[in-house]
Amino acid sequence: MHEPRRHLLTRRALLAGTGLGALVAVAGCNPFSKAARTVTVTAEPTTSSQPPAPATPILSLVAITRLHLDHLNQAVASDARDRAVLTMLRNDVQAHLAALEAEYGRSIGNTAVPGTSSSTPPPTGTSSTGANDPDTTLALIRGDAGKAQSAFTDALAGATRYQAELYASIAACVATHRMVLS
Amino acid sequence: MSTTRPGETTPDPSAAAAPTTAPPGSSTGTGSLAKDTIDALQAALASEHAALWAYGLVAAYDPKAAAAVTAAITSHQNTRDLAANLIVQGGATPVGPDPAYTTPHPVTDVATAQALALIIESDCAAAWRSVAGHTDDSTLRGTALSALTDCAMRMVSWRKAAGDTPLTIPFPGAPTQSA
Repeated sequence: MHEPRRHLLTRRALLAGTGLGALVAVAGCNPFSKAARTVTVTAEPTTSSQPPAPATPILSLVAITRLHLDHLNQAVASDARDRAVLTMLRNDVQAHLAALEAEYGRSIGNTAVPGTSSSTPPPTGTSSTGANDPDTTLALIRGDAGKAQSAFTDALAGATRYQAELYASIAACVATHRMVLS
Repeated sequence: MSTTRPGETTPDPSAAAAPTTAPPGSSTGTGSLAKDTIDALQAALASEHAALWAYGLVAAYDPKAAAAVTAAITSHQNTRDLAANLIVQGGATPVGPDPAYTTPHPVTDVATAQALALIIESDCAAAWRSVAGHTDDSTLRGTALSALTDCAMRMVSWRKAAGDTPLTIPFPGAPTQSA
């Protein structure tokens, strides 16, 4: 009476083993392999007409500049004492962001880059940084200028020649901002 | 101060003495630096020569700015020597100073002297920005940035002294960012 049942268990084990092997084969990995782990990526659709955007430090520079501009917009709105100076600095950084976004678009062959500076929301009267004290505001902006100077200086090393000129000018400009705010 | 862009101080063709070193553009680029890099450095060096000459004029008409002029001259002397050394190391002969230069406008008082100082720094800033864009060497780019930043900061000081606004400009040294 036990013979048929033992035969049934063996078939189940065989089916389970075959299924596991098929799964491993489909997944393309060998659990016993000592080779380096395979890193997979999503393939680009073959029908895409545009190449993927290259990884470039300019994106982090755009982000730094956008945050700097956001802080300046808030500072202009909240700090009446230093509004003239802050507006001057804001105008410079606005120009930096526009130039960086244009250069990023140019570098990827796309002149219509999403999130361009023209879409930056206008400043409101309240500061999300909580820096309504003028001295605190200036310290924040001074810190942003210092970070920007370091970032653009560091980015010079791997930049194209055109970008090197752009980054050098921006680094020099934010250095003058630190001077004006000191 | 190059000799080709409008509004800049240019060498005075009527001056009698002749430069003892190679004229601009005479580099061959056969050393360790590419010819376009050498040419950009030569232009920067020529700007530094012109700046040192022109600051003498500024000092004469703006005696109250003596300390600022002295500091600027010291900085430009250091940058001039640095540029000359880089050119020599790059395998070329540094350009020498012209015996005299023509200013873009007559310097007759404090205001025109301050305006000339701003032009000096603007020209040097443009030259060093160009150096940054004519090399792939990160050290040389850093040197160019340092010189450009010094010029940009002095531009702010001269604008402040002259009562000009705005004090800062977004792209010091860029072609559209004239003094």
